Amino acid sequence: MIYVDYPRPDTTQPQSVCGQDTDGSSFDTEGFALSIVIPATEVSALLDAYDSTNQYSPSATDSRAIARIILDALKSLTGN
Amino acid sequence: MANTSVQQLKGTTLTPKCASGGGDSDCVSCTSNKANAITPEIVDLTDGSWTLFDPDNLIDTSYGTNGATYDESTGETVIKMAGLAQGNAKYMIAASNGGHHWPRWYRVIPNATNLTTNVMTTELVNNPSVTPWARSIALGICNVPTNTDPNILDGTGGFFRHGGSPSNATQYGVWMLSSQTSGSNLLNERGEATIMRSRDSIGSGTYIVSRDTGRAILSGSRNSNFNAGIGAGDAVAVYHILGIGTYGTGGIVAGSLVAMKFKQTTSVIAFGD
Repeated sequence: MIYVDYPRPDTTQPQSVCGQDTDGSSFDTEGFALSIVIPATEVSALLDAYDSTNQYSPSATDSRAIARIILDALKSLTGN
Repeated sequence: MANTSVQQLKGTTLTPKCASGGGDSDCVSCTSNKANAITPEIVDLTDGSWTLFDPDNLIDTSYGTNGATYDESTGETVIKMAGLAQGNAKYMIAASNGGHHWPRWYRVIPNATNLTTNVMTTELVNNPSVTPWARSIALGICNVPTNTDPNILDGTGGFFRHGGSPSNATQYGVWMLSSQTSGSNLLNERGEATIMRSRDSIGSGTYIVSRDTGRAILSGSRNSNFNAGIGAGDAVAVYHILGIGTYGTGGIVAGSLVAMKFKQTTSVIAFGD
């Protein structure tokens, strides 16, 4: 199970963020920062099942689960 | 020394001393107080304690003292830019490309090292009546202020930036190495930030932005989980740093001004064993 460390709604406004992505590229954007918590006990299983060179990886099941967690948090943050 | 004099200090060493817990009102020699009322220093770049490092000569040093003036009645600092025909990411405080070549003032923090616990709280207040330009400002703590490698400079602190158009919102937040997180709002008047640098970690920062009513509009934080990497080596001095950079990769019109009030207090805490 992956979690979003969800802040109190009255503090959830977009922020200006300049940073570096995991591939080293810089970005500068206004957006919502979500804190994703992946239990250490689940990391190996997730990574073992993921092949970054395969366009069909991760599995639909894993993809949907991760996407839903993020989108549910975003939906809640924005009130939409 | 009374609390009202603490603003004169560049760094205050807080050493547990009074076992009774009674403490006193002196935040310099004895601080077993439950809390310390601190009057912040209003930063004065012309007071002789600061050194300007400006590798590409972006500051007009013919203006004021090394390019800066300080108005004692208002506490406002004005900095004049020499101009920059061609911008570059290396002049952005919150970008890593090309290193950190933006100008900065620095001074050593008495009693502080990369291993002591250094807590710095800043307040930045922009003067909106001065013609804006696409700029960014940081006031914080760093390791090697004269180095242009972001991971050797090792800086973190309060942050401000503005896109240069009067219609742009001001942003106040925290800067860390070559990144920033800030709150953007047209009503922003001032930003407070606190960063903790301790035990060879540059720590993480938090911020609160408020409007002219004195009430907060936004708050946020930026985590680092970044250690300075000095590791088992000897403790090294750490420095206050006040940097001026560009918002993006645009240039700077000669004569552009930065007009801001910079406040800070830094505690160097000796927790002991």
